[in-house]
Amino acid sequence: MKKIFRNKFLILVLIFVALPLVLSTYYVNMLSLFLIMGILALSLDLIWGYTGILSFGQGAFFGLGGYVYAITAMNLLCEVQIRHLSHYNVVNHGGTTYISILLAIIFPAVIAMILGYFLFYAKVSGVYFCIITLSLTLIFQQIIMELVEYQIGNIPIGGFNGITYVPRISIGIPFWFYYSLEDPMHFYYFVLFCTTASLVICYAICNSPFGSILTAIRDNEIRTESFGYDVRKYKVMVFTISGALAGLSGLLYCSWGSFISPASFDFFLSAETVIWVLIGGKGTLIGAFVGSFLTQFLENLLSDVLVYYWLLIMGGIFILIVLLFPKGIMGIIYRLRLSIIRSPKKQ
Amino acid sequence: MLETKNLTKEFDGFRAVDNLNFSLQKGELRCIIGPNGAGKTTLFNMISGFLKPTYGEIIYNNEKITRLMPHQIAQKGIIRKFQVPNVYNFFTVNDNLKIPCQIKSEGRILLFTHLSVEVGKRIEEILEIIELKEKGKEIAGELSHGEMQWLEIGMTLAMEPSLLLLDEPTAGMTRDETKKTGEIIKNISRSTTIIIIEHDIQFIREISREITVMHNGSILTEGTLEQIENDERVRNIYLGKEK
Repeated sequence: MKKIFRNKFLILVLIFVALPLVLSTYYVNMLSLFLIMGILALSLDLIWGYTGILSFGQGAFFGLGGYVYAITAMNLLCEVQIRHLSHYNVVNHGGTTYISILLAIIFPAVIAMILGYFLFYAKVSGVYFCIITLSLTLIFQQIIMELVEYQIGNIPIGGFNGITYVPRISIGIPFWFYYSLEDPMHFYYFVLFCTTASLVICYAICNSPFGSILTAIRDNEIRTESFGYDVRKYKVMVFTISGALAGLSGLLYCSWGSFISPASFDFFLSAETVIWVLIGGKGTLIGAFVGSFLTQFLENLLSDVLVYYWLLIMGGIFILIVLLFPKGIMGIIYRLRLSIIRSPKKQ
Repeated sequence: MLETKNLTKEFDGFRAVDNLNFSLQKGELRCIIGPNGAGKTTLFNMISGFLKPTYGEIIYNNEKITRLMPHQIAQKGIIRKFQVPNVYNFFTVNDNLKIPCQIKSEGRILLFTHLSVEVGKRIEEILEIIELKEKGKEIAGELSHGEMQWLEIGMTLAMEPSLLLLDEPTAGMTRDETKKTGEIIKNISRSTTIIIIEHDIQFIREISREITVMHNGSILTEGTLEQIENDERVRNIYLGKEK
């Protein structure tokens, strides 16, 4: 089973490696965006699909990741830039952005951990958890909108207008060799790398004993607790990981559009993420990507062709999938595969 | 080994358990009987930490466990089987047993590492005890009611409990299944202290020496089966008073 997964996964990755060679720049950009949003969906699938906790807070961690990246990258890069000016070595953005990337992942993770500690240790669960995380997302958005006058370092937060001219991610060896991923294709490969890494990490987590405890909590929390597992600890841990993933997605998004604003992580983003996971298939990891790809691709396609009616059609498709295939598209694929495996035995 | 002192639980003024003083020696196999609403399951819920008593103490091995969380009590070795089969319905039988087997190496779980082969061996052993060896790869939710009960007993065994709380282990079982359950429980009781809540007198006759009768949240009487059967008060609460 593991081998099959590995082979299929490799083929899938290879396809994605080859895709930019045949696609136009516009579609390479779009593909990057789909993958970035896929990571966000993955973060929700980890906590919702595997542990059974529906969080509407992923949008907040997404935004947090974006803002932390924007603020730190712009602050740090300015200094580096000045240093290099004296060497007459003017680069668009001097130095690498590793620190910003790390901070933009760690900061949302820490916030998720603190939040998770207070919520899970207070035994908040189910609908109440949804509502609290939803309101926290809205509160965070409101706070950012109010911070028009403030600036952190040299960078104004900008309130509703957000932060613009955020530098692209830049890789290399600090102060020696760096390369900013301005080329959409290079940026795409970086995103693909992050996507693959997060998928592999999530897959490893979910298939370890730790993952089996997560599914045990989803399936029967009281039973798991009465076996001596401190379920709160596991919930906080998985919430932290999922916060880190959402932060990663946010920083990539911010770097992709070189822009972040409160509108980037409104309520609709959190709601859409839930839809992506549902469509793709809850608790399958890869389903998160399938869902986010398909939905966003259809959105793009339909909004071009049917300028007025596309939302209606999208809504119709969502309802049909949820009604007819509660396990999502991956559920359909699994069922097909099962029927293929089983059919020769009957003959 | 286990002792409750003036244990009381009130639900909105109704006393489900009322000033209960119960004690249990190590190695005992104790049955608790009593009519519906006598407070038996509430007592189990308090011992295992799912309910906090209104007042009173629970003492286990000279240690107060009254205010501990369910998982802390489980780590002390008090493991509980629920009244309705409470297994992981979407897991296979093997995976069901894996969860309790893993708790001993929780430190390694938290580091996301994989576990040793010992867990697999332990699962095999338990499958043998509960006689579900051929069903290891079946989904637990598709087992028969009796098999699910055995699986849950097996899962509690995997924890190597020092005190086992069984809430109606034979509920909804056929005669044969009940008999087999009795044998399994007798086997376990050689190494473990057990408290059983049970209604089936036939079953109690087969396994138990000491019986506690509960009524209206407190202990009515304690003794051997013969003493209990000849006690007029017990007959009265079960059959109603003769007029």
